[in-house]
Amino acid sequence: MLKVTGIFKNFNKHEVLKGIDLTVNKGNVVVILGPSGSGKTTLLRCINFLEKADRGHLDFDEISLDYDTVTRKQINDVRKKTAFVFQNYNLFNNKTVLENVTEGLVYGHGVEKAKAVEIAKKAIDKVGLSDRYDYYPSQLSGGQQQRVGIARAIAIEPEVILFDEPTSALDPELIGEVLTIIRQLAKEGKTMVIVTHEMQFAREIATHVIFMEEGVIVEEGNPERVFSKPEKERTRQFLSRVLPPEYMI
Amino acid sequence: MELNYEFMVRTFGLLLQAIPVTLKLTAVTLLLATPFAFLLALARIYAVPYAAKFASAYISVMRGIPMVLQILLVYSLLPSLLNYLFKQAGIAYNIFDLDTIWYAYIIFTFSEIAVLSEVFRSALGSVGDGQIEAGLSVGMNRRTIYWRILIPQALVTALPSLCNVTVTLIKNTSLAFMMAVQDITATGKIAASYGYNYVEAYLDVFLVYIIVCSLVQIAFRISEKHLGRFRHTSQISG
Repeated sequence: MLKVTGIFKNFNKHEVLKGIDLTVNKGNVVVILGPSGSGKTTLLRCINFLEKADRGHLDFDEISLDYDTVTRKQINDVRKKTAFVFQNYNLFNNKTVLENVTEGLVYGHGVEKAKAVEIAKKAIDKVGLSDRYDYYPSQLSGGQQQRVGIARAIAIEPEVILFDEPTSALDPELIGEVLTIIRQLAKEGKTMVIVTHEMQFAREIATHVIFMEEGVIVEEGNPERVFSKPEKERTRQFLSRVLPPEYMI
Repeated sequence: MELNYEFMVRTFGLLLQAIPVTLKLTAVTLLLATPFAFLLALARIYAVPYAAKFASAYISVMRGIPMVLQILLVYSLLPSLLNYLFKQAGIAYNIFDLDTIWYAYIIFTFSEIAVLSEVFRSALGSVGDGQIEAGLSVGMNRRTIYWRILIPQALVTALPSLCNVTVTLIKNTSLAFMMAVQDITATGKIAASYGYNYVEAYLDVFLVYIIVCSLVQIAFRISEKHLGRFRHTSQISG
């Protein structure tokens, strides 16, 4: 369904991505792991053009494009098929919870207003905030804001949802409520690419795990194998640092 | 020294009637300057080649010229220049028939463009790129994001500065008397000149400016409260 190949990205001569390949099939939950600065977030942002890769190819259903010759229309087409959940939520601060969700439907996807409200309410109910329609982001906790971020993403019914460290900015006691919702989405068979540092969560939810370091994919495979019998020394070192000992075999 | 109270009351009435001219000078200037100031701000934010350089040069130059000098230069040069050009081009219009308030609009606008563009630039910068990215990620285009998300928030941030700009401009428009525009100051001066009641007239002028500027400040405070509803709420941590 979604396939990127040979992605390269430079920031001021610093090579952040050095030829990444990534395939996401329908219903997959791909989790990207790796130390800070390994290029995970940049890869995610290159998929929906929040960052423009220098080189590489992207196939997404009927769309096929090269990053160095991509057109505005192709970018819009890809964005219509994807949604993004941000580390810092990035809610529209001047809009209520309900408006945060309808905004993209009405002004991004051309859904009629009344219909958009109906869809938005359903999405907000799903993340458990049906009593917060008219609240502004400043009146919500971080966990609630991120749940609105997720509602905004699922409302446009994207084919792939991209999660960029969705719990990294949250207080520990608020992480659970956000992970619960992502688990629920996985259960429903939503296709997702998730960058996270929550290892247990990753192991439990992923259908495919990718370990990245310094702009390349070091190792990938099904989560059981990558977590319990990593082939590469680098992966093993990383996991032993971030996982509690009882997880290591 | 004794003040002529009867004169003061009479003149005060006259000055009140001149308020619309001062407000018109201020409002038209701000309306004319806003779109250009916004474009200059965008040019600098997005570091548009040439345009950004032009914007910063323009802002520095305008900030460096005293308003009085701008008036003296433009008001003494522009009419003659236009008159000459019109003659060359065979246009029969007599430029000296033009209401001098137009020169005031032009001069104030050129200078306010520089002031406002700096206000807009910092206000737009305060909203942050995250919300633009969020808008893009749900398929909105940049123009829509600016109109619906960025500008409403930037406006609220900018209101205290805009209040400052407006009040300063109201006071600066008093220089329009140099161009024979009958604003509050000019009306006061003329009234005073008949019987040399300058002290009384200036006291009146002082009062009227205080009243006008206070009302403007109150209006700004009310709109800040109203437009900033979304952030005047108790913050829950987390």
